Amino acid sequence: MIPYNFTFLSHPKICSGLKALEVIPFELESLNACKPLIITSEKWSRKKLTKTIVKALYDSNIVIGALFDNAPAHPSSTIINVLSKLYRERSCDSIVAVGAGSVVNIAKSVNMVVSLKTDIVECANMTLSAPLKPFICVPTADCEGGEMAAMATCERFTKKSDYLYPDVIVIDPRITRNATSEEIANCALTSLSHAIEACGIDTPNPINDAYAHTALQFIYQYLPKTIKKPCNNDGSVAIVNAAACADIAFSNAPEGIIHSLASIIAQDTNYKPGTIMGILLRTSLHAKLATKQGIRPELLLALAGIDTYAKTKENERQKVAYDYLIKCIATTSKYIPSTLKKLTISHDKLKEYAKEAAAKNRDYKEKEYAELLANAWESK
Amino acid sequence: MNILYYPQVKPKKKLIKRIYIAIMLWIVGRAIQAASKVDSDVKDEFAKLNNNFCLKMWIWPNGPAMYVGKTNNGRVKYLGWKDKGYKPTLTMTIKNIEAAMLLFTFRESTAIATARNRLVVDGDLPDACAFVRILNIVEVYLLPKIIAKLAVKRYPKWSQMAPSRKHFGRIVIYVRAFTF
Repeated sequence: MIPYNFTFLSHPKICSGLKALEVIPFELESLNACKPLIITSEKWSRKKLTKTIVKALYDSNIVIGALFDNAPAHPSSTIINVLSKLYRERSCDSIVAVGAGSVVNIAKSVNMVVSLKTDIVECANMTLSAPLKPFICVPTADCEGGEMAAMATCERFTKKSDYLYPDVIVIDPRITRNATSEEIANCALTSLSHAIEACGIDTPNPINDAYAHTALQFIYQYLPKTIKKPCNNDGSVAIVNAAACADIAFSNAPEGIIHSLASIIAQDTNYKPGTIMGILLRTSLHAKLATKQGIRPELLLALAGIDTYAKTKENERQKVAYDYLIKCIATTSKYIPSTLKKLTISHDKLKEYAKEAAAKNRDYKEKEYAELLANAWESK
Repeated sequence: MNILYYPQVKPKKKLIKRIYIAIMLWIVGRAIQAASKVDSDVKDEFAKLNNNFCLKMWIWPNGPAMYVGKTNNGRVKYLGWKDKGYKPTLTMTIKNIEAAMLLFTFRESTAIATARNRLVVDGDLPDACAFVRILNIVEVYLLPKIIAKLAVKRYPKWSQMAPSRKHFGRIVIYVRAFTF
């Protein structure tokens, strides 16, 4: 008998590892596409990632409809309209996004516009009821969370739909090893927060837990050495894989308190969501440990393995899992401050953030948001 | 923003790699034909296959390719690299030229390449397994031990393939593959 009632959907196919980029033509063809629009940012173009992508498509029947390497840091309706026009004029039939954060959000928004044959403002109010155009995501290691999830963010709206998952996620060391230590730290903390929030809910989902635990395992195992050496192939691939797993787990769980607050603060302050999440996660874990809720003993199994799990007494497993997580977060201390105060966020704004978060995500009360923020502002 | 600034790109060809793979497929194809006459294990494996057995091993999407088949009298023949209307009973597609390079420069064994999803097999699975075993034996004959160890799952022990049988077979296979 299945112990739980649950639903789970993971649409993307993950192709990871050595020469993974070269599978893009094969995957595109299996999705009935042959003319992709490639979107990336200038930052990655300067690091010659576009060249790597184009070379990976050599010796195939694919023609690149357009190679757009000027995606801005924030997705705006202007850029989405320009790219939609480019897509239509070149008769493209698919989209490949190389990058993270805004690049992927722009690509998803363009996909909505060209698939629904409307503009981005109308897209925000429409329900997606059919699959979109084929979309391949090639993430870099500076993920901000949500790139590989069933959601898209554009300007002031966030859209969630099962059809917003990428069709294929391609994780190649030639792409992932170009991030800096700070970007790796941000990516890992975002994934860590999403994974912990996804597996800490009251109604457990065993398949979702498997994804979240995989993400936690990868991060715990690879974060310390990848922060020291971000160009490490194995490490950077593992961190991006963790981000993919965490994003899928995040898509199948209700939005957590950390994500809600961090997205509002990041939007207001322009700090990376990972930085905010790292600070809030530390405080949130402490509160969870005190109430013995939200940290399940199985977390220890995912983090430390069967030997440590079996050796640890049943009533101590949550505390040991907490210690492991704090140890993991501490490896990013060089890049991520421990309190919101050190991040120069004004104390006066905390109430405003709590109010906004409570309006956005009603699963938690304003008081709970305010309490978490107050504790995170000056570490308690 | 001028969209004409972002051009349409037609990816080039990897000509040298294609030539290398084509040569390797030719050598392997000829060696399989020769080994089917020389080695008893290869002979047995082929004997278990149907008489209409025809293998197509190719690199997606534009080749090169290799056709190996059994004739009506049960003899194994390398049928060439061109499709002359053969009806393959087993198609092994390598997903891209880079995956083929990993396989044919012996950086990845057939078993590992299959595990890493670099091959697509269309046909009977027992036939595909038998062909992989044949390929392993042929690679043991063709390559020196130090390289063959990387290319096969398990290099045969002395008890499984005596050095005299291996060296004699190697000479005969090379002579047969490159002469007639």
